[in-house]
Amino acid sequence: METSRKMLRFHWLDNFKPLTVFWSILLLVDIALVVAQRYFPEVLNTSDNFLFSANYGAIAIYLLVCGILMATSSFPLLMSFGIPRQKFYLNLIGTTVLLCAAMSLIQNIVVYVGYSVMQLSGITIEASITPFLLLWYCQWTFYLLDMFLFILLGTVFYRFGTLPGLITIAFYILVLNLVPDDLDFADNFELAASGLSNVTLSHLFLGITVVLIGIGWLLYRRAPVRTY
Amino acid sequence: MNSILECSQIAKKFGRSEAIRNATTAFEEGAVHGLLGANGAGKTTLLHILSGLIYPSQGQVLYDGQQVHDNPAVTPNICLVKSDERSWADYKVKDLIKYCSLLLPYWDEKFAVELLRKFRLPGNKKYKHLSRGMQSMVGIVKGLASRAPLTLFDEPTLGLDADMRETFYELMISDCGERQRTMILSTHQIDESANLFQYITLLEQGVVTSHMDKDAFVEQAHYLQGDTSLLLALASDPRVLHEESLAGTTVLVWYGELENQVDLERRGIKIGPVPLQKLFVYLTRKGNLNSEEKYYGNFS
Repeated sequence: METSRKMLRFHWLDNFKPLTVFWSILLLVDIALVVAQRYFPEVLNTSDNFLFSANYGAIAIYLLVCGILMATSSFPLLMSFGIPRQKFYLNLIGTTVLLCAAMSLIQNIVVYVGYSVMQLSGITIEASITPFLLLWYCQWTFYLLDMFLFILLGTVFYRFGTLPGLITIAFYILVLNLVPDDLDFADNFELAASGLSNVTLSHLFLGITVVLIGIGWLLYRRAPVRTY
Repeated sequence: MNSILECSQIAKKFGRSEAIRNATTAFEEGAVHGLLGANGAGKTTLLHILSGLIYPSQGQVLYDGQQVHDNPAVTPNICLVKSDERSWADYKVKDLIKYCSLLLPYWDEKFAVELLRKFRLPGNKKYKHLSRGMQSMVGIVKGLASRAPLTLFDEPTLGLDADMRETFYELMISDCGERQRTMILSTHQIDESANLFQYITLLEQGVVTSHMDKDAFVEQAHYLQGDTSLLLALASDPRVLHEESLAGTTVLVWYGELENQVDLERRGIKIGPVPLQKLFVYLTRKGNLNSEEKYYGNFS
């Protein structure tokens, strides 16, 4: 338990600065967008309902990079401090779950506060925003899937090298192309997540994530740390 | 002396090549061990296996009777200092020290600060921006201040100047003297570090060829110097590691029991000790020669 707490603290120390920088940039962009929408709507040429959509993509990209780094950098680093693989992996799951939950929560707050500010400043929002908890859950499952997909990709690169890593990327692209377009709600979460079908999809995401966690453990179980 | 670390029948394959073959040895507790071997002999791989960072393809490693690999009761007691820590590259020295203090259970913060000051390490510089010698110093700080009961150093003095190497040896001696720590050190600076070692483990092409008390190891080797006509009869003995002749005088390096020492001395043969580094070189060359014969023998 003591080690787990220390590892969580390690991840916190490791991620605090990049997270602060990331959210500072994102918030500045959001504020600029709200101001631009209020005073120069013709410049943006976008619906008020889509104003914070870029955040979802940015968070997804941030988390996928984070996932790759956790697999390729945090693993050898923590192993060099004598952490057993099982503890590392359990902690990786815990950190990922918490990080995705926190990112979804912050984005939810941004969306809700953002829309309130917009309404107060006279911009009318036509569509209704998805309930807070539902929006959070849909995001959380999506980010979890996103992050574990890339933790797995990072692990394949770290353990088996470039060629198997590229084959995994090709496999991901193939699977993404097979996904029907109506399931793609990453563009506008706050509107698309309101439908029941998307909640079902979120459950599916959670299921796939559990499978990915299982595959990840098979890869980590006896993973060697590189000798350099 | 009790053994703190035992490995039995260890083998490690990377694809088709076998880095470690059937290694069986035990490391005595509270001693400084020298792990010697030529480049590519398998020292780094063996240290990684001993520390639990790599699983062996076969065999097992026991620390105090318990399995090393992924054993939460054991791994915190072992600290490996790698010669090249790529996972540290993007971290500042002060961050690495912070992580050490957070995650290494026996970490001595006061000692770490003292070492950082002694080595004049800049806390705000990233590891990858440090010189090779300074990177080694960060590793040394981790290894010494970890106060881990078993500490493994892989080439800890790479890039260090003579002064800093000496400082490291002094620190190591005083730390081992004060605390009952076991250290295993792989190095190519054999002459310099010979005085540190209490035990020597020799690794040749993935095989542990000897593990013994350093003094006993060195005492087995002798320089025999004298008239060529007298020494020529001994030159064909398999215990002769090396032979040099010049102007009627021959020097033999003898490794093993010298049964007729008194007789040889009476006949004017000078017998002297062989320094550890020289002995290592002759043993390695002999080993290479044998394996070359075996290798080329396969083609004939």
